[in-house]
Amino acid sequence: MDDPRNRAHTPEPASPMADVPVTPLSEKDAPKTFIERGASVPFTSAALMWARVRQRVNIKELLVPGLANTRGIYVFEWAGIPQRFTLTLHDRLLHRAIAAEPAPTPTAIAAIANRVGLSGAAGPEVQAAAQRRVEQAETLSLLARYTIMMRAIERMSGDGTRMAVSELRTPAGQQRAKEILAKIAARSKLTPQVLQERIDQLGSSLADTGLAGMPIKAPVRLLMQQMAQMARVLREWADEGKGDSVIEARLISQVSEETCRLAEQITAIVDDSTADIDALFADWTNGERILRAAVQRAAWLLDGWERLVNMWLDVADRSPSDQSQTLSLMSYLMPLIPASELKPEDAAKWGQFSKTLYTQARNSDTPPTGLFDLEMMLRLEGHRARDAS
Amino acid sequence: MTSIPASGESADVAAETAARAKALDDAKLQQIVSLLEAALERPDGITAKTMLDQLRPKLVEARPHRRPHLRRSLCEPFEDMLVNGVTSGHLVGRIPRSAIMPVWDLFIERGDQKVIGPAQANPLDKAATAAALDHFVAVMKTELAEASAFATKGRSLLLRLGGETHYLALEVMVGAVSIARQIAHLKAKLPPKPIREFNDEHLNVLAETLNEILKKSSERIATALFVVMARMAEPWKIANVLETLAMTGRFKSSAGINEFSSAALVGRLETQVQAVEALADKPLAGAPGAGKAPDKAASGAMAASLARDAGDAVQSLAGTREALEKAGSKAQLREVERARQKLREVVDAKIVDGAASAIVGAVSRQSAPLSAPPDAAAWRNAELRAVALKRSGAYAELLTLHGDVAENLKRATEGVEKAASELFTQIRRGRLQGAAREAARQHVMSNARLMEILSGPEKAEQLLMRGLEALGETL
Repeated sequence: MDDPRNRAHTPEPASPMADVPVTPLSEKDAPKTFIERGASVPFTSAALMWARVRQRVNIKELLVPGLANTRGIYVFEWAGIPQRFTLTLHDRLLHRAIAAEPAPTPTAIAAIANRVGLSGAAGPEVQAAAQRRVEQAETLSLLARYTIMMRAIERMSGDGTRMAVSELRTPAGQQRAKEILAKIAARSKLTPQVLQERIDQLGSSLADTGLAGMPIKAPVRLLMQQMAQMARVLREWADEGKGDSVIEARLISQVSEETCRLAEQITAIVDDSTADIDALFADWTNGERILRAAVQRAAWLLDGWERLVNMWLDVADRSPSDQSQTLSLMSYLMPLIPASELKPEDAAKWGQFSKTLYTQARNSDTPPTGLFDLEMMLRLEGHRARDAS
Repeated sequence: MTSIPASGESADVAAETAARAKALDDAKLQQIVSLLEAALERPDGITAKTMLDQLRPKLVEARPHRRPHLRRSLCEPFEDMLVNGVTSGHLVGRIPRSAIMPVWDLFIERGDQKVIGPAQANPLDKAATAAALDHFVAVMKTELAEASAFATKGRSLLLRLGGETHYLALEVMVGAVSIARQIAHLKAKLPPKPIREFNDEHLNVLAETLNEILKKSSERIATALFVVMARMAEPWKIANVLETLAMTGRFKSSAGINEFSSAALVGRLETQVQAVEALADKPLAGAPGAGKAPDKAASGAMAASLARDAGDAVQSLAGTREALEKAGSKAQLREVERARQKLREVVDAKIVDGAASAIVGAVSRQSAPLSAPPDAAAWRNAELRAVALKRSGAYAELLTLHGDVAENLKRATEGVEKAASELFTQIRRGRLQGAAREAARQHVMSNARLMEILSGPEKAEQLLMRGLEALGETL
């Protein structure tokens, strides 16, 4: 990746972006791993709406694509961001909070962003949305635990006993579950506490991804559903030639679909492992490691897509011309899966996506100026509120 | 007929239907429209009609496939000119939707069923439809000629159609329908709205169509131009398009065309200003109704939304004025000035006047008692009033409201600053703990957030730091 810090330009506090020289990124310079690509940060400052953060040994870096309507990515040292961009109040707090995070993964950034949202720095709607997210996370974690308990009882009690979620919600049902689980623990040569700890651990780590049979769709599966819908709509949009950005619409549709397919492989691992719960408990160390890695991979795979889906939703009922402009911008900023994160059999397909993307260099919206943009801030806050509604 | 419901409750229903329609995807919308159109034919079809009217903004935008109907085919040539409500002032390029039914009824009564019948029976029969449209032009031309020749017939037609506005609309309709084929060709060949720039291919199509219409009737050029203007992102640049056509010898424009395009611009502007006025007069969607709690953020939401729509109208006003200064008449410029005055009044009354007091009042009320967290809805309302004020600042100069906006912004900023200082003093005195401390933190943040909207993030951060310092905290 070309690093503009190596080039001659003097940082100016909150300078307009037009002053910054731009170096287009070539296809071969694209990030090779998720960590190198960085995790997306839900900034509300216009210039940073597509920015990512990554950790390089002891230095945290900000990666800013789309500054000049090219695939070029600018790299800035994290500490210097407030001097370089005019950040919104929310982003000032987010910047400080992320600075203290040793491993900025998508999950860690999402948690930090929700904490900052809860403070009210992005207004009452984002605050309410952040509160809903907290409550939703608790509910999902509980439901994941219940689902795993139901599975364990069904598969491991030995006498075909079954319990429903509604039953587990009552004190009598919980007492009964406890007794059954104690027997299962004894049969599995575990203490009841260890078995319960494992169930709790699974429940909390799988809350965001969800598992088959959960009565509520978890955020990861919900996003996958939205991406699949967007892929379908954009494919039709391209087939009907609704506007100028047919190539971009088709490409976003394909990448979205393919990303969903890779994410489905992850949810399949989660669903298979938790369906075969006795095997998972029997080989706990290995099984838990695989599940943890799967959950992390799902987060990296889908990182950044929430904002793309929101961008499309913003123009879904607008004119084809507005949609074309947005599609063009979306194509610049669409996260591709880094080459080292792909299986060999998928490499050719993603190589083709990358090739199409880099040859599809077109002008889109006016690049952000780097100054405070109230309208864009309100729009991005609207996305945050919409995500949790 | 008006699209603005009279009562608050029906306004709620209409707004809710419109909001739901906005979120519909094309397939769902198509499904709903088909069901409603089928229900129109039933004796209780009035409900379906009301719902279709509520869906109209979405229908105009998404243009789902509608059930073919001769009346719909008749309206297609002038659909870009249709406006809701009764038009006042300029009529060029503005046909009130309410004129359609009286004109249609007249056509059915006076027209020859042998011509109309086949097109009604099979609206997909292109030849029958074309014959019916030609027949419409012939029948209505006769009606208009007789009305013009005989005063009694003129009065009778006026009464029959429901007034002068509808009578004048009929004249425009006849003109548009007489060039229905050319308009359909133009619509099919031009890119969808909004066209920012015409490429060579588009200019060729435009010239070809205009020349064809010119051969038929030079008076009808105006109608075709209106279709083009409806597709343009900046319709006030129509004169530039005509100039390009003339310079390249593709189509020689005449003074008459420039006059029309100027008049049509004024008409379009007036429609836009009326829409802003209607939005300003609309009952608040969250107003207290039977069994409903009032929405405390409703007035702020209305002001913020009005500020955005008024911004679009002001942009159109600026473009129109610039175009008319070059090619328009003094009378047209006076019309633009009148439109500017109307916009100024609306923006002043609904957004600017009293904004500072509303914002500061909300902040001051919020801080007492300090132990309770701020009321989210009231806080949101103050924010939205501030957003509206800031938005109006972007075009205040054109409305000669810049002094008032600046003054309100200054007073609101100072008010928030003062309220924050008092808040910090209370916090220092209070030695707050637990929930009270958390509530105080929320008050600090809500003040900082308001400051950000009013004065930007620098001042907001300074205010936040002072608040945290009062709490004995740091970031």
